[in-house]
Amino acid sequence: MDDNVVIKIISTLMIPLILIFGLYVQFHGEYSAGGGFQAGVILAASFILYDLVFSNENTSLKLNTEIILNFIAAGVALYVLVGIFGLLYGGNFLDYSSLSLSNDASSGQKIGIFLVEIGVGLTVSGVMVLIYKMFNKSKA
Amino acid sequence: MSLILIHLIFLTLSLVMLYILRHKSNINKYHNFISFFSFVISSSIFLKRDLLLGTKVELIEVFDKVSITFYLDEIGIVFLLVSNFLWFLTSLYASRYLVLNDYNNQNIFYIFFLFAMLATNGIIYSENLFTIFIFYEILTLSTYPLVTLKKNEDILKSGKKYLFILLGTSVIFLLPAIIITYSLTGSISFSDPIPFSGVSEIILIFTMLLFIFGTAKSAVMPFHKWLPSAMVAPTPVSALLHAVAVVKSGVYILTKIFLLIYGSSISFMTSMQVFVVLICYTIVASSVIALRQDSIKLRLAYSTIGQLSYILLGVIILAPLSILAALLHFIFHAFGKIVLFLSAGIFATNFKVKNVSEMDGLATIAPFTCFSMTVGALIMIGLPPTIGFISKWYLLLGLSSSEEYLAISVIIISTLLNAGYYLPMIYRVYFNDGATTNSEIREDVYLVTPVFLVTLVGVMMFFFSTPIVSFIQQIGYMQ
Amino acid sequence: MSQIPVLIIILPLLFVPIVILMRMFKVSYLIVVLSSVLNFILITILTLDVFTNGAVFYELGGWPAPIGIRLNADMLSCLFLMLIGFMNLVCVISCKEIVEKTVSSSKVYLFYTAWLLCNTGFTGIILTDDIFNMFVFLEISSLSSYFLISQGNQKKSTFAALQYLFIGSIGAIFVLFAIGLLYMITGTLNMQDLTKQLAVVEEKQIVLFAIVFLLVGVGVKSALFPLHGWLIKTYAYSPSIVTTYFSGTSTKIGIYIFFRVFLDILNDIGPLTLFSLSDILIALSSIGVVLITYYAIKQTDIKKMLAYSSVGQLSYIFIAMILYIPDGITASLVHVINHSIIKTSLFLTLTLLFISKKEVLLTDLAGLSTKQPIITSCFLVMSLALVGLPLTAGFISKWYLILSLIQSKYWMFTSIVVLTSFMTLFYVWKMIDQVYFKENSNGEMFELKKHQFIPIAFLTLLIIYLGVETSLTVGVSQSIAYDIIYGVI
Repeated sequence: MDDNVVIKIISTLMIPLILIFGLYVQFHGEYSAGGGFQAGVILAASFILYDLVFSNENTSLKLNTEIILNFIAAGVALYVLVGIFGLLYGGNFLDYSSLSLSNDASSGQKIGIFLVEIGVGLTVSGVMVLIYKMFNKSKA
Repeated sequence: MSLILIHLIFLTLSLVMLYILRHKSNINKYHNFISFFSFVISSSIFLKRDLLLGTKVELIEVFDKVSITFYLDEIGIVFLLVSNFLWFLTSLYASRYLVLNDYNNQNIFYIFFLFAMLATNGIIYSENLFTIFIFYEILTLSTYPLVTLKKNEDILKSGKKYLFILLGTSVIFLLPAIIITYSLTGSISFSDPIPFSGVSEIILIFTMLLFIFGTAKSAVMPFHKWLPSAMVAPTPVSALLHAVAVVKSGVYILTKIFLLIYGSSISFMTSMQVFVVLICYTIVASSVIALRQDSIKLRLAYSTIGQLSYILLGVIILAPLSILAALLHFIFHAFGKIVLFLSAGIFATNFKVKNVSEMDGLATIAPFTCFSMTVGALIMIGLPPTIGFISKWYLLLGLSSSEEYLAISVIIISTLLNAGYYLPMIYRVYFNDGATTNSEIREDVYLVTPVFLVTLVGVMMFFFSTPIVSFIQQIGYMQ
Repeated sequence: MSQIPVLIIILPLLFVPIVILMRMFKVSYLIVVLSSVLNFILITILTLDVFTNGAVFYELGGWPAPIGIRLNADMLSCLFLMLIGFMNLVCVISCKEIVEKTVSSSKVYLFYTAWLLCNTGFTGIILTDDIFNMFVFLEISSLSSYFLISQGNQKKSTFAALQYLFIGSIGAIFVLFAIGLLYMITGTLNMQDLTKQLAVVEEKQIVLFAIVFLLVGVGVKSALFPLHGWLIKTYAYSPSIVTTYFSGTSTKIGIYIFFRVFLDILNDIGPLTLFSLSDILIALSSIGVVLITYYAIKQTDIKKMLAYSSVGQLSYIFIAMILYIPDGITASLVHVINHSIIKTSLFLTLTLLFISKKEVLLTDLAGLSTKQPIITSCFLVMSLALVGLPLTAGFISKWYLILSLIQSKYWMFTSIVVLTSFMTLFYVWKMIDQVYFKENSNGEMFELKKHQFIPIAFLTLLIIYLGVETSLTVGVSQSIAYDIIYGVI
């Protein structure tokens, strides 16, 4: 796609929008449609689009498998740690109420869902990009 | 602790000891000692029987009402004494026999011989069908290495047949029969059986058929083929295990099942005739096959099949006199058949005679062996003055009292057939001149002594048979 | 204490990121061992608690059911948890050298990651009280098992994994469809709530549809007779330690789901008695057992032979369960435990004997008895247990299986089961024949170190112990069975 100017320009316009939309879906997950799963996929789509259109050494280096695996692991870790945090304060697993800075249960839940969704988002986008990478590698 | 448990623990420890000492060259001495001591223990059990009868020793309850339990009853005592006495004498015989025949894996022989006897004693002491089944399977597995002691293609093939028929029938018929009994009555115990109530005759007959086929060790046709296959084993194995311990275990199990568990439920059933026919068929067929065997051991094996069915016939008629005859024959056949087998072993070892047709003139060089063989043969035919006559007498009395004319005629035909294949053997050794007549080889004295001893005991029993008969008549369920 | 149910699931999950981030295979192994030991301790504590004080419920995030997600640890789940935890522990303890030799070193940490995830999936399926979560955990364990299988060192390993992926996914879709149908008519996903709702539901036909879908879907996972094809290839071509692990766990999980669905959620096999479906299933399984045993006898590859044997034994378990009488359920549960232990120990022995061998043929066993007498005796005990001879664990389950069939008056199937259990002797005999009576022709030594004797000997003793002292298996299973049939669990 080296010479395909139209695609390059349109992608340049699209990718920031996709990124922003992904982040929007991510951060509004706790009280409106959205959440980590969807956001993760959308974010991954922007990376994949970039790599498809502007494929060069630079991107393959940045998106190397090891780094992506780290992201995936970090996402899982974040999820489990937030869940366990509730245990430490005497609640059940995934009981976010204890995360609150004040004694307000619902604000704690807001923080909890936010963090957990970030974990989910990280893992999902990582896995999506990794799958793309795997297929891409086998082609070359 | 109960003597029963002491006996079993002694045998188990001896087994461990033999395994540890398996590389010693004098392992046969240990085995002789063990068998002697086992006989001493069983004799003391016999003397102290009044204390021991009916006491139960529960080892472990495996699950609900199913446990590994031991006890002793009168039939058990009879079998116990016979098998342990013959074991001791056979072990004397075996320690010489194996040396003469160049068996290089004697340690395997002694270990598994002891193992088989442990299993036999376990069967004798079993209080319920579960325990008996366990030891029955152990007996099969432990005799297999004995049958295949010399490993060549043919022997392994026979061994496979042996194992598969015995294991197969026990798994396919015996186990379901035990479970059916358990599910119908909720008890599989011999000492306090629960009678069947409201069970249809067909199911009872069917279950008993399963039992008869399941204990293939009693060699009722059509599951008798393992016994001729087992004749590839060394002679002491054929003698003790396949004329006494193993086959008698099968008959012993059936006797107990019929007398103790099914006795009260089946005594008036006319369909019991099915079994009478089956057993009569076995008696006649085995005798006819035996007539056509030239190999001495095979002829004896088929004779065993027929003789075992005599015992079963006596049991299944369920008349007091016939049961008495069965139990007497249980003892007497053991003595007669072991003598025959051991004599055949001497012929094969010393004179390389394995077939009836080669037996001509053996009496001149092996007088003691031939005398023993003659006694054994007369017991089998049932001629006086041997003990075989006593049991056959009572059997005919029992059969005529319950008007089993088919069975009576079968017994008479079978006696003629028995004479037909045993008398030529006697005739050949005494009255024919053979190639071996002028041979320098004589019978081996270490082999002959135990055989002759058993023969003497057998002959003596005819003259002192009254205590034996009265002992068996005292047994509670004879009435 | 009260947090234990959830800890059993999330502890392995917590170790997963650590294994990935560390990427050192020695440390990964230690972490997996640590996780398995902790897991087993927790399971033991939970089981003791449940057996003394009754079922434990755990509400995730403190939200009560049926809106929230709940974990349910009752006796049934504890029995399976103990089994899975124990099998996992045994395999993990003995797997170090095997994994080093079979899996390429750059992928060892991923292998252990998948192992942990698989374990999470299994425990999750057992503990969850939410039928959709059960599906999710089923997928977690399946996906990680696809990876584990593909790591075999044979050419066909990837193919086997791919085949299992396709078939497994189709099965998963069926399961999902069934869950959807149940949700459609009841509006709930919580199992306890489902039980209540299903009792008053009018559309019995839809329930039947859901059950049939579930039967097919889970039947794939537990390798029921016509759906067993993947299992043979999987067992034959995956890394031998994975085969060992799966032989005791993977298919048993499918059986667990059946137990949950039929005996707990439906609390009846009612829908199956429509159109006498249960009789058809028993007949199908019986035919299956005969065919499978015949195939097993014909195999020359031991792994395939044992794989066929597993399918046959699973059919026994299924038949006993479908009978729906107390002794049948007891037989089924007892056989799940006993068969797991027997088959795992057989596979483990083979694995340890032939660590770096790709394919283990029957002839490779030749001459084992002269070189490894102790292992040979252990192997003999395991084989005899597979046949079901007395004094071994296999006998106990066979006793109850035949007892339950007799009590249900299925004489035909009784005879089939009895016959096939005898046929087992034929293929077991082929192994024993090689071990004892054949000379070793190729002169290969068996690679076995001293410390590797320990798990084998331990499992052998366990087989004998469970054949004599049955309060742990029969006792527990019986009380579960009576609870299921005569009372609410």
